[in-house]
Amino acid sequence: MNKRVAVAMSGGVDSSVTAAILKQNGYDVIGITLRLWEEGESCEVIDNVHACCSADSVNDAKAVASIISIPHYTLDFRDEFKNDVIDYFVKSYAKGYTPNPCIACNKFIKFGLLWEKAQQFGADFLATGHYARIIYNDQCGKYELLRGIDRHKDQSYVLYQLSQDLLAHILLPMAELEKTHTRELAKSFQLPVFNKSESQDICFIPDNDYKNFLRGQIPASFQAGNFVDSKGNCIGRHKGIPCYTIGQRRGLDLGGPGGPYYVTALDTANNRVIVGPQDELFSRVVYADEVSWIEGLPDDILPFRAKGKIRYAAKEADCTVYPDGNKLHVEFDIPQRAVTAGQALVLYDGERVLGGGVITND
Amino acid sequence: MDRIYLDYAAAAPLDPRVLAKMMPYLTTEYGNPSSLHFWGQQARAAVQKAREQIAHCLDVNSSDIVFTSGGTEADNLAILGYLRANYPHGGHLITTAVEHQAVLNTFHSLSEYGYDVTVLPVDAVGRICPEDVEAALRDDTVLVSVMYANNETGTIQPIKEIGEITYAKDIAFHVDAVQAFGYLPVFPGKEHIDLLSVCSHKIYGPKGMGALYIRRGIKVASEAHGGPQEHNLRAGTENVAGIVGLGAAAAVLEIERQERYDNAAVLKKYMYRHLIAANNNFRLNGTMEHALPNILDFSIAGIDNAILLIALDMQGIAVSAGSACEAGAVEPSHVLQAMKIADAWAKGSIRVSFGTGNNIEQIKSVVTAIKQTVDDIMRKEKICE
Repeated sequence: MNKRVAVAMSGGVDSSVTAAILKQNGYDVIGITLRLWEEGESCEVIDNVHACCSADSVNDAKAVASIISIPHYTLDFRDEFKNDVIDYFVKSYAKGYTPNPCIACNKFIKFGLLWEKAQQFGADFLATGHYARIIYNDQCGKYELLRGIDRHKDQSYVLYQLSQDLLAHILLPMAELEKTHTRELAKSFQLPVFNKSESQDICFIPDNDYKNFLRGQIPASFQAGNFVDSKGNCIGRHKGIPCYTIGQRRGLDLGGPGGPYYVTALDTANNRVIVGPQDELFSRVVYADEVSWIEGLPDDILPFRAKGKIRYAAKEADCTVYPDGNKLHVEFDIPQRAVTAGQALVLYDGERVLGGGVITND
Repeated sequence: MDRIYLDYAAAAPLDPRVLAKMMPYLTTEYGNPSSLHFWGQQARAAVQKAREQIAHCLDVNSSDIVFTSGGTEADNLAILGYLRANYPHGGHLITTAVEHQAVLNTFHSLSEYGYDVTVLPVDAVGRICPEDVEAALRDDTVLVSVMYANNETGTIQPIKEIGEITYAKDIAFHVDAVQAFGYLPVFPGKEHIDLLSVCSHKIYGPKGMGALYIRRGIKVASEAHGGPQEHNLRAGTENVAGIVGLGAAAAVLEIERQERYDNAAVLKKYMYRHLIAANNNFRLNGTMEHALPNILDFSIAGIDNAILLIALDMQGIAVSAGSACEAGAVEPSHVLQAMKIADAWAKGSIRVSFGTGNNIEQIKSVVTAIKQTVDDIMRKEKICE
């Protein structure tokens, strides 16, 4: 019997092509779309896209499923998504962190709960439309996570938490493709989603106004307070810590001789936003916890050389890694700009993802 | 793969005999019933015949039947139309917590327009108590709406007793008989029912058809404005083929209802005994006594019904897991919640509903498949933990 694979289908072009390729390759494919968050009362249209209607996305996924002749189901994960992703997102902001909710979603929802459920209905594999490659290394008997061929679309960063157990059961057929090629493929499969626009930043905040969203969730965190410089001198008033992120320059409304000012740190304990000139934004040492390694913990805890990436859009940079159990710190050869607590620090050896962790303040 | 369909309460297949009656009106007999010429007269006669067929089935006058697009529209026309014609400015309404969304959401919208709505609770098997209806009545109560039998559990309500109460107080009584109609003799005249909704695709007729019985003397206002069709109660050119289909389905139903009842009852009893009564981690939702013979709703401890539904569908077995949201995800059942069934059980609820295409061999294999699938899921759950 053909191996059964559950494909997480968002209704977008990548996951649609993923399902089509797997079907063409002879897998017994089941399409799954997740219902993750409560839609608003009315549907807003943003950039001509019905951003908040997850039902529209489901309809797109169902249309694709019907064209490639696979069954499709919707699973309701709203409760779990709220606990593991939205609440985590909100709590991170409340403590002055800038979280990456997609990483939490991958860990707990897509490669967590969905894989658990998929096994229950007999799936051998779980597939997603992520741009990253998984290969099995015969020599060391381990799975390796590599970057996608298309560097611009490479999504290995958001997959650094995958374990060996999971990698053995995950299929990422997009890995070998370039995005333009994806759309051509979608067209050749006659999928109506071939020209659908890219998904937005944070799916559960369709209008992208995360400050407004947070204001509804954690109004108490929006206490006005002081902007201070690195010496503690008060420079002005801020509108509440969640309004700011490390490296921010715009919207501070700080004039004066010392400018331009950048946000360099968020001090939730004293409700202060630390600002300073551009050169105070750079740090050589970066700390992380909740560390995980793709190929397991290193045999020894000796420092080693790697490339580190401090946010999704950052360029990876040479560094020395100092593992310490569940934690680590790295020393970059060249200081990194706007290192932000809450984002992931992901470590690479060439094409290969070694692992990573969540950046902390120290 | 041989597929086994166990979702007749959602939609029954179109009876080929019914389709045969419809075919001329989808092809050669295309006249508009409102036209005065030969073609129009042919179509009008077909609509009238169908009206008589459904009226005969309900033992009412054909002039008391209005064709609609389905059960939902019939419910809306009954409730909104009755209130608009008689009590446009408000009043007290009574319904139950286990009604179909077509009724429940209509009442919900009315509560936002100045009507006072009492939603009666049900007992552990989903039945309301006639005494509760009586106790809820007020001087300003103008309408009571109770479904004949529930679409999820099959539980039958004490309609006759409630009808006596509303009749004595001269309060209008609406009954959603969409599920019951296919299996129970439903006679609005004998049960003091003033407004009664039925639906075509539950009785092997075409989708997109329903009917509302309106007792003579009960005023209802049209919800659609236009031509004078359907005694001025539903403007718009008639769906002639659909109407003919509903009429034909009702005519067949009248003859075969008892046989359908008996056949379904055997299948239900078998499944109940071998799957539910025989296994401690299965529970019946509802009752075997006051229930339709074709619907069996049960829960399995520790099982996610959405996953079981997928796993069974993979094996070609089609069941239902309550209602779905627009996106197609399984929603928590308001019926089971009203029955105060613990969340852990409610999340594992599955509805099977039998029909003319099922036989005992199928049900035997389904019982085996469900047990096996549940064991598989349980085992994998343990591995995951």
